[in-house]
Amino acid sequence: MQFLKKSNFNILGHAKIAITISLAIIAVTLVSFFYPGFNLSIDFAGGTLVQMKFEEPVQQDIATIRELVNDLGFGQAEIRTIGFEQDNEIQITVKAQMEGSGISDEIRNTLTENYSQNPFEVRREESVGMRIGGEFRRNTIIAVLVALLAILIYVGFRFSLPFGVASVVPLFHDVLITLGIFTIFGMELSLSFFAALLTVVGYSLNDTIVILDRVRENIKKSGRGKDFKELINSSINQTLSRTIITSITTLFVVTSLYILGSEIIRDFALVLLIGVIVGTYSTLFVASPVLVWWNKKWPILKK
Amino acid sequence: MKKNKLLRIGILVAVVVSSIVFLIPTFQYYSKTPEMQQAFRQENPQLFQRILNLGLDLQGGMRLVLEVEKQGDEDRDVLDRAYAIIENRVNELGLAEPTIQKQGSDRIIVELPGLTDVDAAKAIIGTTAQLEFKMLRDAAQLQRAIGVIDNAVAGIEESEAAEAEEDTSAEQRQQQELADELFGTAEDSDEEAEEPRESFRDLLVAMGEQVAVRLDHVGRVNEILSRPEVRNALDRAGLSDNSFLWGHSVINDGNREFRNLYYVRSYPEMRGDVIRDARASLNHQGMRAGAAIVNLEMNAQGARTFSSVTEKNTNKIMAIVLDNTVYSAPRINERISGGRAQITGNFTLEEANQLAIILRAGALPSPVEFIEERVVGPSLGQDSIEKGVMAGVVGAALVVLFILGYYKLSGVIAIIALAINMLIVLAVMAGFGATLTLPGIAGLILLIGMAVDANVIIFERIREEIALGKTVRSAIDSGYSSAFVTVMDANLTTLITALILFWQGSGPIRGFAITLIFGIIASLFTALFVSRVMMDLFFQKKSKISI
Repeated sequence: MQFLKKSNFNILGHAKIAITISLAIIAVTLVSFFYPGFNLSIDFAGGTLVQMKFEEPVQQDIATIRELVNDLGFGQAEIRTIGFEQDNEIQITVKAQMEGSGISDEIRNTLTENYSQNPFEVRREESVGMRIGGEFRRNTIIAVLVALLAILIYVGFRFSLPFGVASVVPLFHDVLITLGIFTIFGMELSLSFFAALLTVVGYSLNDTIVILDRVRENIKKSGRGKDFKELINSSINQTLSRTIITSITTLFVVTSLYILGSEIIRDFALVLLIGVIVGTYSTLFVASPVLVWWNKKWPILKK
Repeated sequence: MKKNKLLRIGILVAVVVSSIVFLIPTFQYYSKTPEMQQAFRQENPQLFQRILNLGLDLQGGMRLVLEVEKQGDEDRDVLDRAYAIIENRVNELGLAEPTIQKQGSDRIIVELPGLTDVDAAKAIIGTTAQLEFKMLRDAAQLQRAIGVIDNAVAGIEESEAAEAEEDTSAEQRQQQELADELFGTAEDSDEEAEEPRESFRDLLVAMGEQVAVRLDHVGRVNEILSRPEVRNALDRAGLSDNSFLWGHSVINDGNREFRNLYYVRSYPEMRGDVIRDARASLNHQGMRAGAAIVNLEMNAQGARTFSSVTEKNTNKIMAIVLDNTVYSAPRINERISGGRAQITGNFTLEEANQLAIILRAGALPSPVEFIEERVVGPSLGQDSIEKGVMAGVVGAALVVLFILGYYKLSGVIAIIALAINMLIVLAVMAGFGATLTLPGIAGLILLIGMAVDANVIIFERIREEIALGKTVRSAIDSGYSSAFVTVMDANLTTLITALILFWQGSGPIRGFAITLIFGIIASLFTALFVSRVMMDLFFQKKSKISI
């Protein structure tokens, strides 16, 4: 079986449209960073999370539970159901208003009192202080920036500066857009979100490197005198079936993680799902135009 | 050429076989019941180091991060003191594999697998330290207590016990027998301990002037001491103001491990708040020059109390007790006035330092704050594993079907390489005693999708070479050699992000980074070596290739 026999798509021909679309999405993303703004999980904002499984259905009681927790005076509670309806499982989150713990104890106590006829089991409990949340925030930003810088250095060293830039620009693109999709839809940014995001960075980079590697090889083989744009276009086409096959196998596993995995894994898988799609797109439509643009300003190939 | 080929097949087989061997203890361990797992841990501590551990988020448990409040610059060892206290308390919880780590200059991370009652754990860990000085009871009193306990355990009726107590001569005779048993023939008490009908004294072993208990009998001793009938019997015998306390350190006699069991007066002679300072040093003069000692300095009130206590109890033993654990039991050689005391003993400088820290810890209890808590109930962990395995099986099945359909016979090679890849990752993780977390499982599943990439790069290249009209053999050769750089570069860059995740990540995220790192390295090996060996084996002499 073979998907693409001697493919010859004019990928670079569509670069203008692609870049316009990307820039538009990034613009919306940047706006979303301020409005509605990031929805930081308790990992970063500080706060308390209690996940509990009741014996009887609680679907109808969510408003009551919210009121009970709000009445404790720790701030607005966020309540959502977990898994299927018949699981009777809910997750209560209260973002930190103050330093110190004990919020989870009070939540448990008040629900034990008010739901004596419907006992629950605590499945998960997390409490993060505001100060340590701030530290996680700082460390995460450092981690993402250091990762991008390390990649720029490595690729710049193994290839050359223009290749380094061409491989890092799509990564910024992927990070921004994945963040944007989460922010626009009000989904939470947690520590595992950023772990998944860095994985996406690794994946997207892997994709880009394979193409850049072929570009480099083709330059060596027949570079001089050939049209640079054409050379890149044929490099993309030569590696296109590999790009697609790897995306398919990765999407297979990520999708099954998203559908079948447990709650925490699903959040994780969603980032990967979005990220792999955005990453594959950026490999094809962002990395190469950057290289072409660079070549126009500072020719990589001497004619 | 042929020899070379045999060698490579040999290496391949060796890697697979040793991976399986590495995973055997892990399989053995997880196929046991929880009780048997505990026994296995105690019997094979070395082997247990080579098992793939489950993270707190999978087996259930608690992770606490504490911050110690620092009061000024002179508080430099505040973290050491808090650490010593917390370590002691966590060990008293009697959990399977607790870990306690210092982080930075003011944080302690406590991980308690299997424990999910946050309130209880915080109450135990977070309370102010209690340092006390208690007098040890002498051997006769200890033996009397043992006799009373044994009667209670044997279920001798209350009236009979009372009679026995009245009949002092009988009691004395019994005590003599006890003493013989305890101090004379302690050797064979081990065998008796295995009998179903247990007796308290059989669990004890004489050790110098003290008694000790085999580490695996500590739980049984605790259980006996907490029985209501035992407590009642001790009360009736007028022994209610004494108590049994465990020693902190584990004693190893070469064969077995023991803990000391001290019998002390419950009421403390002094409390830790009178200690002004405690420092370890090496003795410079006298007979014991070169031995480690601890110099103790007390405030005025402490000096007065200490002077009268030491006068009354010269030649007796005083236990230094932190949170109900005895850290040291020095003998009082003479009356000590002036508030300066010296503790000598057979300890190393390190042990002396530890004791000084304990003494200072009692002197200045440092408040701790819980800044991060994460608790996962055991049922959620079990669910996570089951759902993760399901997602992995379905994901892997899709990948296998797709790759087989797309690459046919070569696909079989890619799938075998993938399976070996997974095997190596798990074996290496087990070999390092690494921890598998929930994100780690996600990482492994993700790896199934990503690890075929290296083979895809190679296979696509071979297809290109074939399309150019090359022979099978040269297509394979040039396919691998030209894909080599690509596969290396692509994987090394991914490795960079994984390493940064490991560096910055915390807890479960680190588990993810670890699977990713080992996975990338293993997939380099399987794609560039394992699949190559198989390709040669399958196709080298063929004129057509199934790809």
